[in-house]
Amino acid sequence: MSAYMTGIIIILCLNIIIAYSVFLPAAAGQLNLGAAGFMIIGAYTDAYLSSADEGLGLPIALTIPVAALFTGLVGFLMSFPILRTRGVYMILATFAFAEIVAGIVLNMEIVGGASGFPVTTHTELEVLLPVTVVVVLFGFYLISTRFGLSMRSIHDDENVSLLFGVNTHLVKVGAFTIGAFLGGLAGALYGHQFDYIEVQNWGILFSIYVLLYVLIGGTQTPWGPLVGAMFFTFIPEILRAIGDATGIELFTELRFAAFGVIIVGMMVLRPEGIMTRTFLELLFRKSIPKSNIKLS
Amino acid sequence: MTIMLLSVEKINVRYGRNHAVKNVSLNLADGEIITVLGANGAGKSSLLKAIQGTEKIESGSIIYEDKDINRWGAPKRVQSGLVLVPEGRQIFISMTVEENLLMGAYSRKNADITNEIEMIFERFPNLKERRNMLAAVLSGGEQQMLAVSRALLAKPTIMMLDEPSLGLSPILVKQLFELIKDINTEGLSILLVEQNTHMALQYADRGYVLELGNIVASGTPADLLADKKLAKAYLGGD
Repeated sequence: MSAYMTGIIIILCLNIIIAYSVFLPAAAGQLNLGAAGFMIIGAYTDAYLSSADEGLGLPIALTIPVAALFTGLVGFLMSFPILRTRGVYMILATFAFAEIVAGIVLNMEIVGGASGFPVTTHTELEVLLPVTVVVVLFGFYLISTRFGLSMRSIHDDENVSLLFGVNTHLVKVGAFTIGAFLGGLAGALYGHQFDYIEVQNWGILFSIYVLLYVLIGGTQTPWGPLVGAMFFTFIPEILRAIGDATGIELFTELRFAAFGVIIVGMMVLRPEGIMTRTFLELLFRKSIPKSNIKLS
Repeated sequence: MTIMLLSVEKINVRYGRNHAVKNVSLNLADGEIITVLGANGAGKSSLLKAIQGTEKIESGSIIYEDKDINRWGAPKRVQSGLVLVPEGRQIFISMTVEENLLMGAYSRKNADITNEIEMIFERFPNLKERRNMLAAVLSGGEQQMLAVSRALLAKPTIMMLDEPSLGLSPILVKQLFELIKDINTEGLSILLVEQNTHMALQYADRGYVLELGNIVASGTPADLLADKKLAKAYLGGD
């Protein structure tokens, strides 16, 4: 495998994990623009625990899970104020959370402040790839459970979910916490791929992109984040390849503009995302019976 | 006096300054269909929410199966058989028909509901045909059938329905009331909130009339319809 391909797959894996971290709360109706915040907490916790020079030098088999769990704990605690908000206010609250995290870490000298922090243990895909597969399977599994059903019911109608006995508060906190855990996991894994972390990697643009993976991919099914992350990782590269092959500038220099046009087009054509349930039925079954009969 | 399955005693519900339910008392005997009638804003939905446990009552008490359930949360009330079919049907539109039914049985953790779901499908072949389709594609009548079926899967003792006839054609309204009668015959007690007074009084054993949060009349359908002033003001008579 070429270094270029390996590089793409590393980015794809990280994008998939962070996409599930935003998808699971989104499946329960929570719009999370704080992916960057969880990524930073996970990355810095892991880096500090594992770094041989400036950190504690612990083995990554320990530091990656601990970083993810710690981020999950922060997410759990933050869920109480954040879940008091809804819709667009929740987007603002999670965004504010990410900014606060970035601000704090930027001013922490123990982890290098603005100059970043080196990660001394390097891994190749042997860690990242299996973890990504597990995260995807976990996403599919969780949605198929009773807990997943209750998440989706809250997405549709929180009050009616309550009417049928769903402990809505518990489920919402659970979904948010699991999302934070996965965000921390993605952050921890990132450091060991790129050997260096800095807060500036994870700004508002990062959080917007991740939320877009999920919304463009679709929040109705666990296929959504997978397809969304692939879409966002591959399309710019495909555009670049087309540009290199044809020499048309539109695909090289302007590929992000072209990408923007594609995103706007997707929002117009498929507002529910690429992977809707109806689309899955079309893929896996031949036809859908038409609804024209009234009542028996 | 027969033993009441549900007794609501002088309850008050308030949203800030809006006193939505004022000293309302009503009762429901086992096997009965009662209806609560009234115009928009009379407090009908608030009354149901208070009984179901999603709205707090300020004072008064709710006695269900001889137990004071004031302190019970909504999940516990559902589990013990107090089930509401909410206004406007409120089915889960991005779930399939079958998943909606599963949600109905959500509070019955380990129950095997395969047979019950099959029975629902026997009753409503239309729902069976669409069992794996999104509930969003159902027609209004089918959505109401699904909403009632979903509530049935919660194994209610008392089924409360909040304006189930809203937005349905006269033929569908007739079918709906026949369905309510059927499930009542099968042993469920019914608390029906309606604006369609004509139909509701045809099927109910007793009725209450709610006006601005107060109960202004109660009795058998014949009594209520006999009261000329009442009939003219609330019951659409002339």
